[in-house]
Parts: sequence; structure tokens; C-alpha cells
Amino acid sequence: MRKFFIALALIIALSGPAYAETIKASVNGLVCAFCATGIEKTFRTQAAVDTVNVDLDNKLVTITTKPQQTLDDATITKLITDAGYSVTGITRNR
Amino acid sequence: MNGLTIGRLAKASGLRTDTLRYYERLGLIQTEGRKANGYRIFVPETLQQLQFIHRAKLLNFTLEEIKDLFIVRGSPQSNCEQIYERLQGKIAEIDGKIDELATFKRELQSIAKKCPRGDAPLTDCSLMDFLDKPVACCEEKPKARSRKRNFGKVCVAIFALGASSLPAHAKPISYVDGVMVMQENDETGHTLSFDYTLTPNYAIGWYDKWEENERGGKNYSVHGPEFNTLLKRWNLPDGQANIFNSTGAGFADGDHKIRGAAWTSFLADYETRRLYSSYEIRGMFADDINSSVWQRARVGVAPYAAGYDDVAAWFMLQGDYHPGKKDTWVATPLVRLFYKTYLLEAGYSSNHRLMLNWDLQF
Repeated sequence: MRKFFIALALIIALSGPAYAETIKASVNGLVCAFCATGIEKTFRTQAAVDTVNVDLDNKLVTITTKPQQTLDDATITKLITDAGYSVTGITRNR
Repeated sequence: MNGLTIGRLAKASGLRTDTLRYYERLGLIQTEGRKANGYRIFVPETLQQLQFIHRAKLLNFTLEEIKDLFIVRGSPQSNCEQIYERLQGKIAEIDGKIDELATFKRELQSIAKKCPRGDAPLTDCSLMDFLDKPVACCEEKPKARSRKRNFGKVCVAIFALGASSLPAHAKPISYVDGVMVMQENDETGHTLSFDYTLTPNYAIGWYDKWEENERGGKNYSVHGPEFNTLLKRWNLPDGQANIFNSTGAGFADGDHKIRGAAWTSFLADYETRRLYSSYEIRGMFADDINSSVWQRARVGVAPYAAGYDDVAAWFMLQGDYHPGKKDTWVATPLVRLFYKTYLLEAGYSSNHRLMLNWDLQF
């Protein structure tokens, strides 16, 4: 029984956030909605992503992950770069 | 066999026997077999066909075009519209020649004005001076020289700068794994291109263009793969600037003849949410059918800063400079609308051509 609880604790500890995560990426070059659709399409290919919102006024891309899932900063930066933009900062809320 | 031997046909038509053999090789006239001695026997309608060929030649149709007319005439699906289209093509070709001759006439008039008269020595004659110069000063020249000059320009553009093809209304690279379809219908012709973005800096695609030759007014088309490169991008807090190159090679189809073709272009743009500007230099080399370098610039303003989920509207002015064309400078005011991945542009050019472009990204 003791081994079972240890294994359970390890699974919970390694399985990432228990709740959905909201990640905000500040992005330079975000001026054209036609071009920025690439950001939305790129993030939607990720299994961890629940919703994506592009805000041209505030130059922000807001990503909400699925429960117990996350995306690291390097992946977010790569995806936004692949879509043709530059990331200037990333903040997270759980 | 009720047909005619080649000798009798030559006598009846007034044509030489080798001309008749040549027509036969082209498929313009047909034999129904050969006599035991090997002489060709032509079908009885051949004399009427030769009269048809003779009249068509008087109207400036080439033998290839006459063959095409025979095909149309022989097809049960053919109608008058098909003949009308060919007539319009021929009229456009003649218009092109008239324009070219008018250019030559103006050039000669210009030389004649400078030419002294009376007893002046030949060395003072402006025509001799003009012909002796290795490179003439005037814009329009005899075809061979012009072709050579344009070829040089395109070579410089291709190999020194990396000249063409970018549909000017959208960037030729979208996002990694993104596909873009662009269709452009404007005063330069009709363009269709597909691009697949491999990396943030590179895309491959296929390019098709149907247009009028820069000089003769003949229609031709160009087809082939192209490679698009994002040479430099500046992502700014309130704007984005880019320099792209698009280079391709394939084939050109015109006058029922296939030639090799190559094209390249550079596009620089800068845009904010309310202002847009771009400049493009494009070059096309397609053997004798077209060799040209031309330029395009655009400026635009958006009446409002559209949000990501809004329909965006832009008012733009496009200027085209075609050194080899009758309409050297063309201005096109246009409206651009886009929503998400759908983009539409409509305008009307100063040489009275409608512009209708669309892009789709997926």
C-alpha cells in the first residue's frame, strides 16, 4: 500500500499542472490579421492547446491549454517564429 | 480512286509540287493513298482546301493557324464563338504590329527632323549617325537588339540580384506547413500560384501566368515551379517590413511553340495596421516571346485599424512601369478586403482593365 501511494504521488507530480493554463505571449510584427491567422493555425495543431486568441490591439497571443497540459516557452517561441513573428515576452496564469 | 496526282494538283492550283508535299507533311492536305507506281493520290477536296489556305494566308494567318482552323472546321462540337476568338486574337496581333510600326515611324520621324538636307555631307546625316552607334539612344529598337538588351537585364536581375513573378498583393511565404493559393487578374494578365511554406524563410510553389507579350500583343503563358525566400524580416512593435525573392524556371507556351522560361522578382514591403507600402521589381525571360523587366509600387491606407476578427478594408494605389509596353505607366486604384484567411482585391486601371485578385490561405 505504501508503494502504491508513492507511485500515485509521483504520477501526479510528473503529470504537469492540474488545471488549464493561460499563457500570454507578447509579439512584435503583429499588424495584419490575414497573416496572423498563421499563428492560430500553428497553435491549433498542438494537442495541448485548447484555445488561441490573437489580439492585434495589444499585440498579444493568448493560449489556453487543456487541463493537465502545458507548453514550454521554447515551444511557444518556436511556433510563433514559424508563423513569422517575434516573441518579446511570455507570462503564465494558472 | 477519284483523287488527283501531285502533278495534276500542282497544275490546277498553281503551286509547286514541293509546296504541296510540305502542306501534306504539315497535315494541311491529305492523300488517299498511292498509285502502283508510288505517286501520291490526293483526296478530291484538296483543291478546295488549297483555296482555303490561299485565302487564309491573304488574311495573314500562319500555316499553323490555318491547320487549327481546319481542325475547328472539322469538329462537330465547333461553333462560331471559337472562330470569333481566333479572329479577335488575329486582330490583337495586327494591333500589336501597328503599334510597333507606329513606334518605328516616330523613331524615323525623330531622326529625319535632325537630318540636314541639301548638300550637307553624309557624315552630318542623323540616320548614319544613329545606325553607327553601338547602342542607340532611343527607347524602342529593332527586335533583335531589344531582345539582347532585355536578356542582359534579366541575366543581371537573375544572377546579380537573384527579376517576375510574385503576385504583388500577398507575401509569398505564409507560416510553416501553410498553403497559399493566389489568383491575380489585372492589366498584366492572369496569374495563378500555389505556395507551400517549408520553413519560416522558404516556400516552394507552382506559378502559372497568361499574359500579353510586352511588345507584340500576342498571348502566351508561362508555367513552372518557383522557390520563394524571405531574405529579411523586421518585426517591429507597430509594424512589419520584409524583403522577399521569388525565382522560378519552367516553360513558356506561345504561337504553338514551347520555350524555356525563367523569372525572378524582389518584393519589399512595410505595413502597419493603417499604412501599407511595397515595391517590386520583376523580370521574365522567355526566349523570343518575352524578355522584360518591370516594376510595381503600392501605397495604401486603412480607414480603421481592423481587429483580428473584423473585416479589414484598405484603399490602395498601385503603379506599374513597363518599359517595353505601349502603356508604359499604369495606375490602378483598388480596394482590398480581407477576413481571416480570405483576401479580395478589386480595382480599375488607367488603361481601362479590371483588376480582380484573391488569396486563400489554409
